[in-house]
Amino acid sequence: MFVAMLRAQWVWTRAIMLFFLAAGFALPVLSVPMSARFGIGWISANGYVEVGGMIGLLVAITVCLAAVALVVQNWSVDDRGRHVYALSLPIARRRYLLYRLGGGFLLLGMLAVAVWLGGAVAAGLLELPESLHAYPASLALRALMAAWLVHAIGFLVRFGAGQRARGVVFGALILLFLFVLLPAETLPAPLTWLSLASRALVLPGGPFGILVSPWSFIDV
Amino acid sequence: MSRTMRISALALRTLVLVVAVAGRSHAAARGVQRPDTARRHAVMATRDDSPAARARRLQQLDHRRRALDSTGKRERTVATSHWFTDTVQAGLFRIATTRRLREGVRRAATALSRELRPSLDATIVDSLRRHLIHVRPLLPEEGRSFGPDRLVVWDEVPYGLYGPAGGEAFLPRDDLRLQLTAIVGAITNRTMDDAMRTWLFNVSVVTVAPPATVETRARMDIATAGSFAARRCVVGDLAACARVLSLRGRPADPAHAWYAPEDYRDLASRLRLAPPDGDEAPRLQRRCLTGDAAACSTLIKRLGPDRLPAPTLEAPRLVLLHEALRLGGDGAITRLRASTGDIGTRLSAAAGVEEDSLLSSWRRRVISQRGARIRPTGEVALATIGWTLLLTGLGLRRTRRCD
Repeated sequence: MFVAMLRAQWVWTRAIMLFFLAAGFALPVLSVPMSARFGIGWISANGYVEVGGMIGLLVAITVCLAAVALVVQNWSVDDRGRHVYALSLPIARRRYLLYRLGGGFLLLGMLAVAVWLGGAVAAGLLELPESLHAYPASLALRALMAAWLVHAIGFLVRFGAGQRARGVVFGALILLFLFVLLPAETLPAPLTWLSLASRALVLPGGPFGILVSPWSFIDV
Repeated sequence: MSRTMRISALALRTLVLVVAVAGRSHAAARGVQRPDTARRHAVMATRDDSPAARARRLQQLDHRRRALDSTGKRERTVATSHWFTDTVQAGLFRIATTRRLREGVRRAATALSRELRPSLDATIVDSLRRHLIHVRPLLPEEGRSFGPDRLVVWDEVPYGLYGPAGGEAFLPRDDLRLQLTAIVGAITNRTMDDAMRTWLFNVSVVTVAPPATVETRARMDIATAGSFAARRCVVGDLAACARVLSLRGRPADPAHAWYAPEDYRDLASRLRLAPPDGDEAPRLQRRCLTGDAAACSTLIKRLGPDRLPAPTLEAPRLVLLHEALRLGGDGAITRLRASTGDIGTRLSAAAGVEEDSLLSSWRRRVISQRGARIRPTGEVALATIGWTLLLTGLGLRRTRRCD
């Protein structure tokens, strides 16, 4: 049953997945000639570190977008078919959702593999100084965990919440993001605690810690 | 005429009326020149604009600014002097504060003293105990500018947490401990000799473990130094590490001791040329940055050894100092102060080990943790997986609807 559902999920989302798989592979590779073209990076070792950070940021954006796109596309197919497919299957709803989630996680795992392969190719193209190394596996692992987290959030919002709750959660996420950016001292006193609570969400033990810790491809 | 068109026409007529009235009143104001404006214009028309006159005016403005500053400072001192009713002796610190803040300040200072005491010697402790620190809450007008929940820490030691000037620091309550630590660092710096202060680029010397950010910066500084000696240090050449850290003092020929010809282009990109460098230097720098190796060599030779910067700043040196104090244990800082010779000899005397062992230990701490900055830590990974499972579980719970 799981394999059949995975196959169906792949058919529904393959256009999106192929795009993001190509992007995940190409970003690390293309950044090498692009940064050489614009003169970033190859004068000093510091430049390599900056390029590595740029690659990491682009990969972070790509995997988060891929996770959200997968959720939206996946569940919109159910909406369009008025859940006939889901209701016609001889399994409980919870198991059905679990299979769908597992399929999503597997597809995002493919994306992490694409990032790792692209990073490995980029590491081969770069002539790094002996003090620096490329870490495609670290980047791919970070991409995998971030993609799963964002996919789980998207799944919860899309499937576990009603329409009003979705709007509230979306607005709250935007506000929390703004509060993280704004210094706490600039906010009126009653809102300072909101800023502090937002920062707690991005600490290493918080839900978004994986997204804000350094995304980079090149390090000591 | 439809209702919409009627409303639009009314709005347009109102707008035209407002603009006409505003224009008339503005023209009236301009037409009648105020007496003081006319006088100011007359004065400006006859003002002496020579450089000497301008310099005199600037000096007068500066005198006025200083007078206002000192008046403001006196008024603030008078306003706050009655606040410092309590002087707390908490551990290493002597702090004048208000009755309301007394307990919190005593707790923070005592806890910090317990942590710092083992790494300090009698000289530093005596200096600290003679030093009076003031901690007070904000005045109302200060609260409007800085926010409600802050303290003012005032001391006369430069290099506090918020900058090189002494005086008042306005900081959140949670930063009191950091500010007291910075004061200890500044006092420790003052008790050191010139050679040690210069070696550390005159930053505060904190004898407890530097924060993780300093260690990360040290690692990145060494790895990205753009220096042949730094690259050799990374792969294990301890003599190169000693050169990069200037343990024998600044080399006589830094262009060869620290850098190789392949580093000159990066070095040239970091140099800030000045008029004494000559007219040729900017042209050589431009050619060097486009890849002309001969221009790079000529530029470096022309500038001379004193103009070449050290490959790294203070972060690796702070970590080395702390490593020496950690290995040396009790009395390390006393031995450091008492020892003579170059920096390397003094640090190894403080650590109680050979210089090579000290450098190996430092290297293990700073350089050998490959990829530590970017590898997801166990804490982050577990937290992410945990949150993912929690959110998944919440999404799987039974709901009444399919949408």
